This record gives sequence, C-alpha cells and structure tokens, in this order.
Amino acid sequence: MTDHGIAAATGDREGLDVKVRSQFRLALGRFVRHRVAMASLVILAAIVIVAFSAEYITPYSFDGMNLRAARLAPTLEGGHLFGTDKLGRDYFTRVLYGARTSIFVALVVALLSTVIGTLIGATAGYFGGWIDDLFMRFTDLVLILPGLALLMILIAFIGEGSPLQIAIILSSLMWTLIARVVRAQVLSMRTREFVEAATLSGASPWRVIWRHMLPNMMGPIIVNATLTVSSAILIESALSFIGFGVKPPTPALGQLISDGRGAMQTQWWLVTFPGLVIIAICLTINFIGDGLRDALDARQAQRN
Amino acid sequence: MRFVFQRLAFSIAVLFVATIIIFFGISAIGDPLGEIRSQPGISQEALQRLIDKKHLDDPLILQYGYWLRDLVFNQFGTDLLYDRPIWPELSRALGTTLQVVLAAEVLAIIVAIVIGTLAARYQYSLFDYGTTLASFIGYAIPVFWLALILQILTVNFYEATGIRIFYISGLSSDNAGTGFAWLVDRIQHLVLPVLVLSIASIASHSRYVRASMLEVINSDYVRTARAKGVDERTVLIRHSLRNATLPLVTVIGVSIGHLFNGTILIETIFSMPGMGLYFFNALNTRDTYSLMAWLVVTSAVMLLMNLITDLLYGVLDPRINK
Amino acid sequence: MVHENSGQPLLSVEGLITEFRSAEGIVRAVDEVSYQIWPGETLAVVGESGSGKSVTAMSVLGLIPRPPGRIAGGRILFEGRDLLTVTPGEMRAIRGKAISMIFQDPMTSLNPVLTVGFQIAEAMLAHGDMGRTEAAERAVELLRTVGVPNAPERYHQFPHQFSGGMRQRALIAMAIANRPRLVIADEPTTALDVTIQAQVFEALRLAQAETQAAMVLITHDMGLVAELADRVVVMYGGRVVETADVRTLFHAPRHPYTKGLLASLPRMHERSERLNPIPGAPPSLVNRPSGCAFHPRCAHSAGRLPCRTDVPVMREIEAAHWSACHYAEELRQSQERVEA
Repeated sequence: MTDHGIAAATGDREGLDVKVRSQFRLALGRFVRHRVAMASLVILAAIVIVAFSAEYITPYSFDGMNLRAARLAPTLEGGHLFGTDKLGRDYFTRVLYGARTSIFVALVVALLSTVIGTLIGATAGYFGGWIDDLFMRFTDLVLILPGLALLMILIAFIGEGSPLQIAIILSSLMWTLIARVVRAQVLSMRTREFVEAATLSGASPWRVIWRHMLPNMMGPIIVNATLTVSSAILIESALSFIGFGVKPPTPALGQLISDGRGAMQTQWWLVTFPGLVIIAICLTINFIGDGLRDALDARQAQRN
Repeated sequence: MRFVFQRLAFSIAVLFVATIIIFFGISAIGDPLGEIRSQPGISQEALQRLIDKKHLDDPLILQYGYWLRDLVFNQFGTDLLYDRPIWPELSRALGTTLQVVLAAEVLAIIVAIVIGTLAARYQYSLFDYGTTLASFIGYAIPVFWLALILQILTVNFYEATGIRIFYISGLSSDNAGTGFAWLVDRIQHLVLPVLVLSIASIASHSRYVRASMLEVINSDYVRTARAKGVDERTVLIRHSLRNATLPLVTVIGVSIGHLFNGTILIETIFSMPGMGLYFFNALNTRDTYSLMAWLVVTSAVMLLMNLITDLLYGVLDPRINK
Repeated sequence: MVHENSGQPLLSVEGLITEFRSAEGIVRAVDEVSYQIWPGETLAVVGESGSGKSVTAMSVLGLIPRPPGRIAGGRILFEGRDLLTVTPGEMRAIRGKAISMIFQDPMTSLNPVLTVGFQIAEAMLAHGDMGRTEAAERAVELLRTVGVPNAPERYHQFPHQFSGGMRQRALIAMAIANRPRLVIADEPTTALDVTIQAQVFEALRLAQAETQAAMVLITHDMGLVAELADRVVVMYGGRVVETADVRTLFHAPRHPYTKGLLASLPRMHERSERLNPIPGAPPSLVNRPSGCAFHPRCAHSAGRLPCRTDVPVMREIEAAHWSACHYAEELRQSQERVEA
C-alpha cells in the first residue's frame, strides 16, 4: 500500500502499471478457477460467434421465403434446426440474426452506460455539493417512475427504430446504476492517503480521478457493466416484443416472439426458441458476472 | 407521529416536483395535437375547440397550472381525444393492477423467506445449490416469454384433460357467480399473471433472505440464545427470522417498481384491463393527458409504497428513533 | 477464596480433542486438553488468542458448529456424566441452567430487537421453570444484583440503549439466572474499556458471591487472574502447559511460556524502559512445530533436541503443580537460585 501511495504521489506511471498488471494476473487466475463462469464464458462466446457469423453458418438467408416449407416443426436432419415460420423462412437463421441485433444493442448500451455513468458518478462523488444533490434527486425520481414506461414514451415520441438509436435511448436511463456504484467508490476513496498525496502533489482533480481512483474501481465497474448487458438484453427484447423496440425489417428476438405469438399453440417453436436464446445469453452473462465479482473483489480486498 | 407527518409532507413535495417534471417532460417531447392533426377528416373547428378547452394556446406555465388544477380538483380532468373523464377508467385500471402486483409481492416475500431460510440453514446442500441455480435462471427469464409459455402449457393441459385449472386471459369469467365461486374464479384468473410477475422477485428476495439469514445464524446473539438453553425452534422463530427478514422491508419499494414494469408487459398478454393496458392504449393514441395522469398516479403509488415501507421498518426495528 | 479441593471435581475435561476443517487442512484447536474444576472455585484459563482456551469452553457446552468443527476425542465429565455422550435434549437442559456461559463481546451478544429484560427472563423461560410474570420479576432482581441502576425501567429497554459495560452486566445476570453450578466466562472484560472493566469485574464478583458457583475464567488479563482466580491453567498451541494454584503460578512458574507471559507484564513499581514481549508469533495450528509447540520461541530450550522432537507430557513437578516441559526442573533450580 505504501509503495502504491508513493508511486502515485510522484506520478510514477511505471510503478502504477506494474501493480495493476500483477493484480490483474491474480484476478484472472481466480476467474479461471471458477468453473461455472468459465463454462459460461465458453458458451457465450460460442453463441456470439455463431450469431455474428450467421452468413457463413446457415445456407438460408434471414428473409428467404419458401412457401412449400412453411410451418415445419424443428427437425434434426432436413436442415431446419428450429423449424420454419408461416412464410417458410428458416427459423434458426432468423433467431441468429435476431440474437445479433439484441447482442449489439446490449453491448452498446453497456458501453455508453458505463462511460456516462462513470463520468457522472465520479463527478458527483468527487465534487459533491449541488452536483451531487442534483444527481441524487435525479436517481430518486428515476426510481419512482417505472423505467419501462419512460423508455416506451421516449421511443414512441422520438424513436425511429434503429438498433443504435434504441441503444442510446436505453443508455439514457440505464447509466444510473453504474453512476451510483462509481459515486460510492469515489466517496470512500476521497479520504484515502494516496488520493490526498496525489492532490497535494498538485494533480488536477481529473488526473486524480483518472490515474488514481479509476484503476481501483475497475472491479465494481466491470461487474456492473456485465450485469448491465444482461439487463439490456431483457429490456430490449421486451421493448421489441411490444412493438416499441427495433423496428422491422431489422430482426430482433422480442419481435420474433411477438410475431410467433398468434400461432403459438400449434407452432410452439416460434415462441420457444427465441426465448431460450435470450435465457441462454442472460444466464451465461450472469454467471460470468458472478465469477468476475468473486475474482475481482478478492483483489480489492488485497489492495486494501 | 411527528415523524409520520414529516415523511408524508416530504412525499407530497416529491410528488409535486414529479408533476412538474412529468408535465414539462411530456410537453417537451410530444406535440399533444400531433396525432390528432395527422388524422384525416378533422375539421378546423374541432381542432380549435380542443385547443381552447386545454388552453393549448397559452404559455406552458399556464397550461401547467390548468393541468394541475384539473389534477387536484377535477379528478385529472379529461383525456385529449375523446374528452372523457380520466379518473373513472384510470382508477379501475389501478384497482386491477394493484390486485396482481400486491399479490405477486406478497407471494414473493413468503416463498423467498421459506427458500432463503432453508438454504441458509442447509448451506452447501443440494437444496442450497439448487435454489441458487434456480435464482440465476429466474433472473434470466424474460417475463413476457414466460407468460406465453405458461399460456401454451395451460391450454395444452385443458385440451388434454378438459379441466380448466387456470385462465389465460381476463380478470373474471362472465358467468363467475357470486361469493365463494366468484372468488375461486377470480383466483383462477390471477394465478398465472401473479406467478409470472413474482418469479424475478422470488429470485432476488430469496438471495437476500439467504444472505441475511446466514449472517444471523452465525451471529453472537444467536449463540447466546443457544447457550441459554433455548430450543432450536424458538431460536429460529424468535431470534433468527425476525432479524433476518427485517432488511427485506427496505427493498419492497424497489421491488414493486419492477413489478409495475412487468405489468406493462403481461397485461397485454393476459388481456387484463389494468394500468399496463391503460398505458399502452394512451401511448398508442399519443393521448398526452392520459399519459401524464398515468405517470402521476404511478408515482403517487410508488411514493406511498415507499412511505409505508419506511414507516413499517421504523415500527419493526427498535433501533430507529421515531 | 481458597478451597480444599477434595472429592469429585465438578467438571473434568479429559484428553479433549476438537478439530476444524478449513481450507488449509484440519486445524486441531484443542489437542488432548485436560483440567478439572471443583465446586465453588475459580479456575483461570490463560493463553494467547489461538491457544484453544475458548474452543475448549465451547466444546464443554456443545456449542461447536458441527460442519466445520467436530469433537474428535476425549471425555467431558460434569458431575459424573460425560457431556459428549448425552442427547441433544439433555445438553439443552444443562445449558443455561447447570452450566452457563458469558461471552466476550457484549455489543453483539444481545438480540437487538428484543428487550434486555426479556432476554434475561428467557433464560428462565427456556427451561420451563416459571411463568412469564415470575421470570420478569426475577430478571429485574438480577439486574439489581449485577449493579444496573433503575432496574425496573431498564428491563423494558433495548440493547442499544445500554452501554457496553451495562450490556455485559446484563449478560452476567442472564448467566446466573438459573443458579448454575458452573459459570464459564470467556474473556468477559476484553472488549471493554479499562474503566468499565472494573464495573464488570465487580459484577462478576457479586455474581459469584450470590450463586456460590464455580467459575472458569478465560482471559489473558493477568490482573483479573490475580484478583479472582484460585487456580490457573495455562494453555499454548491447543495444549495445557502448566497448572498451579494462583500464588504458586505467579511466584514460581515452571514453564518457559508462563515465565515469559509474566515477564511481559508491565509492572508499576519497577523502572523499566521497554516491555519484554515473548519473541516470535503464536504457532500455526495447521502446521504445528514438531515436538514442543513452544520451542521456536523458547529461550530456555536453547534448541535442545527433545524440545524439537518430543511433545512434552504434563508432569506433576510439585504438589498440585503440573507442567509440560522437558526441562521444568531446571526452571525450579534457577528460581531457587534467584531466591537464595
């Protein structure tokens, strides 16, 4: 700890980097030993790779109609792993493309929320005062209004249905979780010696936050960013289910479920498979998040 | 008592601020007349009448004033498109949704306490790992998908056996009868929506209770109780349960907020005429006045829930000075 | 109080072995510990943290949590019955009634949502001896006995309204509620301020006078030992290393560890500039040193072979004075030389 403090105070970048790197290796080791998280990582990677290389995996296109093969149940041979819909489109392909959109939106949301949340949370926590008050009041209000309703209103009035725009709108409400976490971290670090040392040695507030506090907060930030991905997938698919999300022809998993709803008694695969994919993605992400939390929290405890 | 009034006054203040944000927020992103203008065959006079009635020509602040007056004294006034009073339908919708949401939360709390306590007591057992896995899955299931799957299964069950055990739509059947028969019918309609809504809450609350219970089981005061010769059952009920479930009260407010989100999704699936469906219709017709009323009512309900849980906690925990 | 210790001991711990399963392996916290206590006497059990003194006491009352811990051997005879073979129901009837315990940290040992008075009354209610009103009245009486002012009012208060010293006194009241024959006090003053310690010490004395119970006083506070104890058992590394009556122990210790312990106490009438701690650190209970657990830190051993290879057994060096040291006689000789 003292080494870190001195290194930080003299702005010794080398010292800081070395410490961060070895801690990282320790955390990595811990994560790898967490079997469920590793298994989930592998499965998730497989899903993501398959979804993003759909063009190379299936011989069908996303909207290729083939009325002679309409409404087929899933079969192992015969080339329709998830069956077909009423227009004869291969459902496996549609689900893959839908997964691609959902994953894309979720990743963008996580990235934006993390960036915005970290900035605002750090500012509120470090400077305090009216900025912090404003932030707290804002999050309080967000808590009493149902988030889904707000998102739907935003999308209804100003949305055009592109995945990127949907992602931006989702981020505009979802940054609050990470902001709260970062704020709490910054508040607790503000009084620690290495921060005082850095401030006294003339570092500007931003340098202090960026160089000295942020590396110490990476653990909680990463864990919460991961959880944001799985929340985003659920929210995005809910929105596209009720028609307030990504608009056709861009495919989305929620959309597929909604389209298949009419025939769900007889063509159960239309509703079932997109849902199972959503569950698989969220479940693996949650396990990974749990593994990250275990791996990174111990690291935090060691630092202290 | 003074504490109660303080919190009440504070909640009302927050509600007031919320109305400001709701009104100016909605006004900022949507032209109230946008939808109407785009309808063919709307005469200029009809449009003008609407503008006069809602004072849409006046500056925004005045509009806010009129709206607020309507809200407080006029039962939220009338909606934009058809000039119907808002409150009757909104209050009916509220009643329907509250039944489902409160039932879901109560169910979630009871099940979570049972699961969490057992998981803590038998830590590292198959039950513990099993329920942990179930919780993870519970967090990952999309609410609307689960609703659909249960509908499919229920209909399949009916088709296979001819028995209607649960209903998949509506709040009550037309021929429900009275008294006990009516109650049974209502419950049959409510089971699926309540079950679906409660899954995520059960997952989260049971983890919370488990963690809390583990802390309590290993606490010094439970050790003291055992050392006094108190029997295990009394240790569990008098010493462990109360201390372990107390923290749960603090998360009920947030949990109900999530449930409200859920009802927006599943009311359309289960054709329940509640707040979710109301919101949906208002949004689809871009009826800004209905929307604003809905937002205000929802905020008020959330604030009330938070107030009740705060007070409840104050009553249950002797360490809080009232 | 000095007693003639004759007849059957009230409690006899014989060769007790208590182990815990941990990530690093099996930890033998209590390694063949034996000691006795007679009715009415105060036995002090001293040692550092990790010496096994608390775990021994918890084993007596059957309070060792079973998954990580287990009692692997020995007997605990209380009034002739082996407590390790009684049924859970019988054990429960003994806890808080025939044998009671006072724990170390008063701040966390009381249930925050129940009144203090009720928790004292509960000690009586748990054994079904009296009704609620009677138990409540007696609880108020007990609070008075341990010196809590305004007892009737205090009965209805919650733990957070009691100071640390008062809470410990309430816990003492709880422990003597059923007139136990044996009270085990596990570091009753450690978690408290020095000024409060005096109050609690007084309460302990009153409690003992009131009940005539035997007391096992687990502590590392030698001052408390000197004031309250009749006999002393010294533990180190999970084993007993010396047993003697209190005067003999203080004046003529026969184990290097005890000597070191006494020498490290700050003394008021001597002029010294620094304290003399025992060098080194307590032994790891997972990787115990071979032979005598104390040898790595023992100046007296001077690295001699038996200390490093053979675990010393308890031998009666003088009347009622036992020591587990290969070279205990040398200590006696050097002591006599000093006194000569």
